This record gives sequence, structure tokens and C-alpha cells, in this order.
Amino acid sequence: MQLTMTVESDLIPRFYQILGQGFVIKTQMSCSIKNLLCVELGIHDKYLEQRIQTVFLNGKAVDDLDSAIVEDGSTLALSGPMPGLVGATLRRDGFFAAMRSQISYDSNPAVHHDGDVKVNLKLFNLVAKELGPDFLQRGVWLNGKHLHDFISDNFDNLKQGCTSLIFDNEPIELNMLLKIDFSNKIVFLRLTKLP
Amino acid sequence: MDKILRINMGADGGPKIKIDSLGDYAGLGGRAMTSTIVAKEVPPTCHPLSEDNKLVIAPGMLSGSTAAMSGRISVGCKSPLTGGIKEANAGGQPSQMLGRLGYAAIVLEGKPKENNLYKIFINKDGVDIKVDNSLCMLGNYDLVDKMKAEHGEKIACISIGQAGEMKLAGASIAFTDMELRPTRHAGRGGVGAVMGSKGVKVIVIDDAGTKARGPANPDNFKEANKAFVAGLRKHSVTGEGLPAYGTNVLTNVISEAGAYPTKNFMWGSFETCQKISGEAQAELENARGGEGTATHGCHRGCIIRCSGTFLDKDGNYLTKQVEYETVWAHGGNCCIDDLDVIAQLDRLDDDFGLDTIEMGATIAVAMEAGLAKFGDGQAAINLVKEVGKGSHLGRLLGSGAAITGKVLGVERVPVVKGQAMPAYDPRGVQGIGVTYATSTQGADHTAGYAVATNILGVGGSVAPLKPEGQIELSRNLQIATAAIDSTGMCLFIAFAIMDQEDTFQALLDLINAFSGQSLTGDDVNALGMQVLKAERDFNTRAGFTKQDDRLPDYFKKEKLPPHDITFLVTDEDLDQVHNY
Repeated sequence: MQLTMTVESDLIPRFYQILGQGFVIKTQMSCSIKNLLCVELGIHDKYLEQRIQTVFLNGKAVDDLDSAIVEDGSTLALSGPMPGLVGATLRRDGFFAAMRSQISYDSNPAVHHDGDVKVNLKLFNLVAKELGPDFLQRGVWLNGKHLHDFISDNFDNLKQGCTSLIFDNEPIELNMLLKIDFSNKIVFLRLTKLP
Repeated sequence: MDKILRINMGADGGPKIKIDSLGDYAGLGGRAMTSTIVAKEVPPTCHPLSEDNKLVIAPGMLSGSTAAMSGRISVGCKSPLTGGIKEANAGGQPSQMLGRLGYAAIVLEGKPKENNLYKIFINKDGVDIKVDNSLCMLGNYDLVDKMKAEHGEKIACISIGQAGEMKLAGASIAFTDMELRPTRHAGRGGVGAVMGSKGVKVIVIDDAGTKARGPANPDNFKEANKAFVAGLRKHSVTGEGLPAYGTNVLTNVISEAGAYPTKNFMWGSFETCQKISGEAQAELENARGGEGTATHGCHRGCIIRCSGTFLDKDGNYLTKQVEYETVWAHGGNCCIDDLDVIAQLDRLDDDFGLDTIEMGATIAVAMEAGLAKFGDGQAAINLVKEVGKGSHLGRLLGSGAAITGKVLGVERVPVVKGQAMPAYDPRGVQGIGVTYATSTQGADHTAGYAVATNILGVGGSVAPLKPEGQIELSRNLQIATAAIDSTGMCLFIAFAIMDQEDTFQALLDLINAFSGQSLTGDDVNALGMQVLKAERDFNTRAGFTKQDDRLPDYFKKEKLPPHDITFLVTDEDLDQVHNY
């Protein structure tokens, strides 16, 4: 299923919420986090180093992006640096890492998987704000229930700021879209920004 | 700041005002001032609501000057919640105003013989104290409106709501913000109950006709302040993340880490946390109030501006931007994922004068006991309203999670020394569990903050990812935090001074240029250790032993999903934290 939405630019930040819930990206094989982000997704090394300071792989805080391997079915979450003692504790390779050793990612040898690898990627806070528009305009695979709930929760805003909806190559009204049950499906969402 | 205002509320013939010189307390500010006075002058075994306890309110060392971020105010006493020494601090305007008026501390002593309620008025001409029983059982918002009507809009207020008057152990003290709203609270440990026991409803401060405190070396001060501000602005946490999203930016991340206490500490992740995240909150606030509504300072001179304004669905002011701890306590911990409900609870807490962490933890315990269903926002609102009404149930809930759990027969009660844990599960982040267990304050996330232990020279050589590092880190963090609390600087400066050595140096230069001293990092460390030792000594004399430095047993037994971990730090290791 594919959905293309043409929206006013000030509506785009609303969509960051679903990027935080996660979206699926596909790569050709298992690889390190750094390889996935910089080579596969084209994120600049310097951006990764300076801005993405909190990283979780399957809920565990990652310190070394070169040795942590992303496999089929992994969940990878990216965030800027966090406030507070615990925020500093979770920072990768930070001074306080000892305080969360029970939830630190342990770089066990990964089972390499060639062929399609699906990764659930979550973007939070400043990272969602900075990388989100590009991902949304390129298109992201979303959990249908998350997307349906998002449209339902933001119906009034979308009705006002969304000028065109194309669902599986056919134009559709927003209220009609909500009547389609795609909650058990994966939907490819792409945003087009109004000039 | 060269004087201490002492008011004996129990003096014959009514409250007696005395202005003291600083004496032995010269050079102290903030937590160093409050804890030193309490440790020296309060009998440790006294009843916290008795005439022997004292309530000490102290601005920071730089409060009243033009130094950025210098507006924290410290409150100290023997705690009705923990039975030990208590320091709680807050932002807002009163710290700056008291500094400008020259007061290094206000000490409320004794206890009124009659059942009267007092209003204290302080300005450049002196101090006036009057009985005003018309203030009885007013909420903080109505009370401040009444003070505005009487004294104008250029005042600041320090006040208690109904909870403080009822002397409930979860009662806070409110400090007004820049808009003269009672949104900043010294929340923890029941300090509001001690103010209530002194019969003081409100302290009104008017600094008209005063000037900012002048530095000893104006040129160096100006230069250091400029460098300090630049350091805060260029750091991604203090210059970007906190202004954009506030402290609630933590919600998504802590839940992702599996350390977000959910459903009264049963789970480590909250499935619908996105709905109450800082990102969603900022979006909602800006949509309702216009761009920039989610970025606001709590006092003049704040550069970070981690607060904001929360408007209701109709665009009317409801409360300030709700902070992470409150969003968690009333939200994820109670399985409530509606920001409007959480904002209403925050408003009620501020109005009744309640610690939001304690109340959220208490409501979750009550939910586990079956008084309401987890996730039922309206039921949570109704329970908090019971506290404001002063019903029997409300008085029970307002006494905190430990008492409520005991009365309702709940085993899973997340407290240390009687004080509810904040928004991080100690099984997920075990280092903070060490601090919860061993802090002089009871379970407290700010007791060991992310201060530059390495820069301060108290970090030593800590091996990362080794469990034993948690003990040493917790010890060093507690010392460093006590030092920063004593300066009166907002703790959020910690991130910039941790990462940027030049910003830490700018802070030292700022303090030195203001005071004319030559403090080094070692001196700051020594101050922190001195404060902590005084607090530990008070608690020992109050009857605390190492057995009080423990987490509840269930944290060692119940595995926390999703990582299925228990708290693994041994009692022997915990006993090493204060071995210095």
C-alpha cells in the first residue's frame, strides 16, 4: 500500500511523532550501525559524530557504532544528547556509561544475513527535526496502525493542511482514507511539500 | 547579602523579627546555607512539625546579581516525609529579589501559639508580619491573585497551598515565576508542611528601589558572564534540546532504554509514550499558543529557557510546560497518555501545593491498590482533588506513597527513606539506583547530577562499563551536586560545564570575579563534601543507619521488562558510597 500526501510545510513537524514510533528501512545485508547510517542512508560522518549522541540497538545503549551490527528485525533508535544524569549516562561512550552497564549493548558477534534486511528505525527530538523531512519526502514504510492512529488524532489539522491524497495511485478524501482498514498492513508514506 | 532574617513564630506576644549578621555562615549560599543552618541549629530527633524544627530559605551565592542562571533558591529543614535532613530547590523570581534586598537567608523558627495564619511582607524598608486568616485554605493561584491585588504586580511570592496548611508530608512550597504565577516549587520532602507548621501562608517580596548586587571585580565579572552565556548557548543540550523540548525530551529516550517506570514500576517501557513525549508536547504548545510558546525561562537571567506555557484546548492558560518528572509521574507511571489530563494534574498540584513526583507515585500506588484503574485520567484528577478538599482519603494521599502504600496494603511502593523515586527505574540504570539508595535526601534524581566530575577533579580513574564504577561515580556526583546546589546556579548548566572545559572555567571566573575569591575546582569539591558530611551527620544523629541506604527488596527480586533485569548492586558496595 502506498500513500502520497501533499502538505503545507508547517504541517511536516506533526509527522515527526510517527518517526519516533518507528519506520522500516531495507538494506541488502547486515552491517554496522555506522555503515548503515553513513553509507546506506547517506548521513554525513560529522553529523553522526556531533548530533547523534544517543543510540539504542534493540533497546540497549550503544557505545561503539562500528562494532554494533544491525540485523534483520533490529530496532535502531537515534537521538540527540539528553539532559539530566540519566541522559548523560545514556550518551554513547560517555563518562557515566558505567552507571547503565546492565542495559549497554554488548557487541556479540552478529549472525550476518545476506539479502533483504529490514530494520525498524526510530528518530527522536532534534534528529527527527533535522533528518525527518528528508526521510518523509523520500518515503518511509510505516506500521499501518500507527499511521491510521496518527491520521485520526490529527484529522482536523490534516484536513486543513493537506491539499492532495493519493492512495494506491488513486486520489482519495481524508475521511474516506480513514474508512480503509490498513491497520495490519505496512504502508509506504511519502510527503510532498507545497511550495 | 550580608544579613539573615530570623522570625520566631512562637515568641511571646506574637512573631518576633530579628536581623542577624552572617557570622559563621558568611560565604555560604543555597544548599550550603540551608543544610549548614539545619545541621547546626535543629535538634535531629525533633518532630519535623514541632517548634524545634526550622525552615530555612536561601538564595544562591550569585542570586541578585546579573550572573546568568543564578536564580535557584534553596529550602531546608528536617523533613516530615523522610525524617532526615531536607534540601529542596526551585527556580522563579524570589531568589533574585531576596538577593537584591540583601538577605542571605530567611529562617522561620518556633511555632505560633494560636491557630493563626500569617503573611510576611519584605521590602527595602524592612519586614512586616501580620495575621491574615482570610488566606485560610486558598490555593496558590487564588492566593497570588489576592497578593497582586494588595501589593501590585511587581512582587514575588513564596507560598503554600491547602496541602501545606494541612501539614501533609507531600506538600511543596511555591515560588512565583516571571509572570507572577505559582509554578515553581521546592517540591520534595514535605517542606510545605513545615512552612504550614510555622503558620506562614505567604512571604511577599518587593524589591522596588534596590539595585543588582555588584561584583567585586566588574570587568572580570562581565567578561566571565559573557563567556559563560556563550558556552551555554553553543552546547546542544542547553542551547538547543532543552529550549526546544524542555526536560520532557527524555520520555521517548528513557522508554526506549527500558528504564521508564511504567504502571507503578512494573514495566520499563510505556507503549504509547510518544503521545506524552517532549516532542509531542512542544508541538501541541506551539500549535495552541504560537511558535515559541514551548520556550520560556522561569526567572530573569535564564539563558536555557527549558520551560514553556501550556494552554488548554480553548487557548486559555492552564499551567507551565509540564516537566519530565511530572509527565512521567502522572503519565506513564499511571498508564495515562493524555497531555491535557497530565497538564490538569500539574495545575492541581501547583495550586494545592503538592510535590508532583510524590503525588504521581502515590496515585500509581493507589491504582495498584484498586482505588482507580491504571490509565483512567479522570479518576486520577478526582483523587488529587480529594487532597485539595482535605477529605480523609485526600489527607492520606497527600501524605505520600509510603504512607498510602502502608495503609492500602501495597507491597510495590517505590520509596527510599520514605520519599518516592523519580522517573528512572533503578534496575535499568543501576548507577542512579545507587544514588537513590545512598542520598541524604531519600530517593532523589538530582542528588547525583551530571556535573563535571572529571573536570572538578573528583572523578578519579573510573573504568567504564565496570559495575564498581557505579559506586565511585555516585559518590562523586553527590559531592559535585551539593557544590553546584550551593552556588544557586541552575543544575542544567551541568551539561555545558561537563563537556566544555572553557565553560566550567567561565563559571569559576564568574564566582571569583563576583566574590573576590580565588576558588579552584578543588575548593568547589571541598564545599560539596562539607555539605554532604553535614547532612550525613544530621541523619546519623536523627537515627539513620546504613540499613536506610537500601532500595525496597522487590527491586532485587522482580525482573523489569523488557530487559528482565533486577537491581544487582550489593549492600556492601552501597555502604562504600559515603566512605570518604
